[in-house]
Amino acid sequence: MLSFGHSSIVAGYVVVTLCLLLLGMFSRWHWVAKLGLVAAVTAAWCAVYFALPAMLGWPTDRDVPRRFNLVAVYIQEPDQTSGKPGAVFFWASDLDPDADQRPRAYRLPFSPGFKSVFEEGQGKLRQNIPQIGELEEDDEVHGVPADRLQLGQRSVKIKFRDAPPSGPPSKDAAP
Amino acid sequence: MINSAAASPAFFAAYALVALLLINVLFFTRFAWWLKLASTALVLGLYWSSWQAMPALLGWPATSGMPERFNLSGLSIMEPEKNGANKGAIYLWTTRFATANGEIVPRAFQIPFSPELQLKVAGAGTKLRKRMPQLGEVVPGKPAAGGHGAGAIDLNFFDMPDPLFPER
Repeated sequence: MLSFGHSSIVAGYVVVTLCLLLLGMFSRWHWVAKLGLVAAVTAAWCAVYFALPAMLGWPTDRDVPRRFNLVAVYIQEPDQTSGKPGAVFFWASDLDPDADQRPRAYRLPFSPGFKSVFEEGQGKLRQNIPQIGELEEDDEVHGVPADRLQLGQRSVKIKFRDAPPSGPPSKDAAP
Repeated sequence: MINSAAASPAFFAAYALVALLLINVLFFTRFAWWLKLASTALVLGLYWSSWQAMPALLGWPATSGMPERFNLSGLSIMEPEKNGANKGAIYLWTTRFATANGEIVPRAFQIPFSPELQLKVAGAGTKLRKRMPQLGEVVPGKPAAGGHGAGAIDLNFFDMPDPLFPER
């Protein structure tokens, strides 16, 4: 899948501004309507601009790197009373040298398998043993996915191993 | 899944406005048919590409919006490089108290690096490793000593109080 990021949103701004320009220059609307349209589009861009930061920081459920350095784990157990399915959140940095090195937050659906694997990784982190996570595609069929929007995506397995010793203990920390 | 109740209305409104613009172009102008077709294609492309771009934004640390008090779930310190190419940063993974529906979702933040803040955060990290939950508080109106750039803040960390158990 192509990754668009910010450039797509900038392109969107350009496209809409072009449309507005065409309408302003070549339509026969009253000048009040044109002015109102300019004000409305400007307000919309301001709203989007200020809304974007509110999206940052929250975990994503896509693009888990093939190999990553595990920074922290947060497990939310399912709640049978409220029906919440639970989730496994983890914070990791991509080990690909060409990738952004900032830690990124991820979210996986809760499962006993994920919980077990991540709890083990979390335990090692507490002992100050850095953990490298590796993604493997899971060929086993696990039945109908809970979220039908996930149809077509292959489920994955994650394995952790101790990072090779390479210097002083990590400054990262996790509970 | 995009988790941002604050962002959705703004994006919906922007999408609706663009749709309104397109309707005006299609029905209330005398532009050539190919121009109208191109406008429709451009707007549809805009919707698709911006929707595809949303997930790429998720997961990365935010530089604003840190709650005044938070539970510390994880931390990562990137020290500045001596040649000045990288000014360094402190990343915190935090949870706030349960939301209205009881779901707790950790959120990541990025704060400009400062030596004083690094010491505080590293100290909190040591306690976190020892399974001592840490409560973080933003010190109002005061950037950390040595902090630089917009968004520099100061934090204090405290051991979380023991939960109260009802008397039997």
